[in-house]
Amino acid sequence: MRRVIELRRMWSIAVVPALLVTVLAASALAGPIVTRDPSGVGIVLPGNLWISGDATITVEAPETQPTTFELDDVSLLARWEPLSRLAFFGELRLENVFEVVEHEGVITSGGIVEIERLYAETLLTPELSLRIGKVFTPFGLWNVISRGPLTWTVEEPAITENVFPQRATGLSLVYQKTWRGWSFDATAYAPGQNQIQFREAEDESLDSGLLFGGRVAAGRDFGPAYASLGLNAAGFTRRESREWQTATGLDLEVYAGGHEITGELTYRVPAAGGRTTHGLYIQDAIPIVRTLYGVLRFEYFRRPDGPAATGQLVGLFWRPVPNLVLKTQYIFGTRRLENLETGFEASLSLLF
Amino acid sequence: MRYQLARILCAALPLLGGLASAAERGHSESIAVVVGAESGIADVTMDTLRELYLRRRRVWPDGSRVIPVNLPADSETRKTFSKLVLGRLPQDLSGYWNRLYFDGIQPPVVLRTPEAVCAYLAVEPKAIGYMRRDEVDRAACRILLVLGE
Repeated sequence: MRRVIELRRMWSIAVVPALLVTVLAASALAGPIVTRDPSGVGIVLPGNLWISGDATITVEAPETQPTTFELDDVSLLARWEPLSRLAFFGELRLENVFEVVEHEGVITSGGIVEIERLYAETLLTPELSLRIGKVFTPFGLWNVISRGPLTWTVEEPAITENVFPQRATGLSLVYQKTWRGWSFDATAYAPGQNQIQFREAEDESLDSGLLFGGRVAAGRDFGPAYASLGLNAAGFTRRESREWQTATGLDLEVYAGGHEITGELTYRVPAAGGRTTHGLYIQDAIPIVRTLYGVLRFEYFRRPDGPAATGQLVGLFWRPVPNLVLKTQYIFGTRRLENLETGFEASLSLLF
Repeated sequence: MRYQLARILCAALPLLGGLASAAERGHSESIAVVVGAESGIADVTMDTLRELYLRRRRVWPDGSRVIPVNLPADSETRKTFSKLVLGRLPQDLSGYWNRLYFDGIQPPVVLRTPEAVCAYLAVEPKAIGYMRRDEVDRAACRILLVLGE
C-alpha cells in the first residue's frame, strides 16, 4: 500500500514538468505563421487547444525571519475549445518543490500537485456564460489572478488572502456587456468552496463548506482615462461548524496616463457577532520605460484578534521579453503579520 | 486550424511583397472596419466592436466563432483604432491581457499588412478587421463601419 502511494506521488509530481517539456518542444517546432501581440504567451495547437505554463523562483528576506530561496510554483494551464460555445479549462500547480532556508539548508518536501482550477464553460448567449467546476472566487480584482506570475507584485495584498474563500466550486454565471460605452460585468456563484482537489485541505477554516456570492461592476472611458467600480458580496460557512460569515467589498480600477491604479476594500463579518476582519489596499503600477514599471502600494489590515497593521510597498516589475517576468519589492510596515511581512522580496518567472 | 493558415498563406503571399506605398495611394484619417466580401456579417456597432477586440465576446449571434484581426502594435492605424474603440493604446492594455491570460484567452491575432488582412478576410467569413479607408480592397472586403470621420 505504501509503495502504491509512493508511486502515485512520484507520478503526480512528475506530470507537470513532463507536460511543460512537451509544451516547449511543440512550441519550438510550431514556428509563427500569423503572429500575436508581444503580451501573448503559450501555444495554440490544432483543435483550438491552448497550453501554457510558468515557473517562479522567489527570494524572501523578511526583517525578522530567515532569508529563503524557493522554487514554489510550477503551473500548467490549458484551455480547449472544441466548439465555439464550449470550452474546458484546467490549471495544475506544483507547489513547495524545494526551499533553501538561511541557517537550515535545503528543504525538499517533494512537491505537492494541486488542482487550482478545473471547469467547463458554455456560452448560453454571446454575453452570458455558465462555468461548471472549480474557479477562483470572483470576489474583487486580485483573487481571480491570484498568485500568478503576471501580477504586479511578488505577494498579494493582505486583505485578499484568507479573508474569504479563494476558490469556488459549483456553478458560476458570468455576464459581460458593453452598452453605450459602459462596460457591465456581473458574476454569481454557488454552492461550494475548494471541493475539487487531490488532497484534503490542512486548514479548513476557509476552505470547505458552502459558498454563495456575486460581483457587479461597471466601467467606461472618461476622456483619455478608463475607470471601473465593482461591488462584491459573499456568504460562506465552514463545513464542520456551519458558522456563517459574510464578506462585502468594493474594488476600483483606473487606467490613466499609462498608470494602472487598483484598489479593494473588504469587510468580513461573522454572523454570530464578534469582531470583524477588514482592510484595504490601493496600488499604482507606474510606467517607467517600455516594459519596466514601478509599483507603489499602501495596505491597511485588521484582524479580529489584534490591532491594525499598515504596509507600504515599493517595487519594480520588468518584462524584458514576453516569457520572462522579474519583480522586486520592499514592504515597510507598522506591524509584522503572517500575510503582511515587512522586508525584501524578489521573484523570477518563466512563462511558456 | 492548419487549413485556415494555409489559406492565409496562399491568399496573402502574392500581396506581402511589392506593396503599394501609402504615399502612392494618398493618406486618409478614416479607419474602415471590414469583413470579407462574401461574409454574412451585416453590421457591427462600436459597443460590439469593443467587445470583440477585448475578447469579451467571442461568438457571433449565430454562435459561430469570432476571429478579430489586428494590425501590428506599432502600426499607426492600430494605435488610432485602439484609441477610438478600446479607449487605450495597445501598450496600455498589457495589464488587461495579463489578466485574461489566466483564463487562457489570448489577444486577437496579428497580420502584418492591410493587404494580408483583406486577403484573409476574403477566405474567412467569420473574421473581422480594420485598415485605413483608402487601403480597403473592395474586391475582397466590405466596409461595415467607418471610424474617425
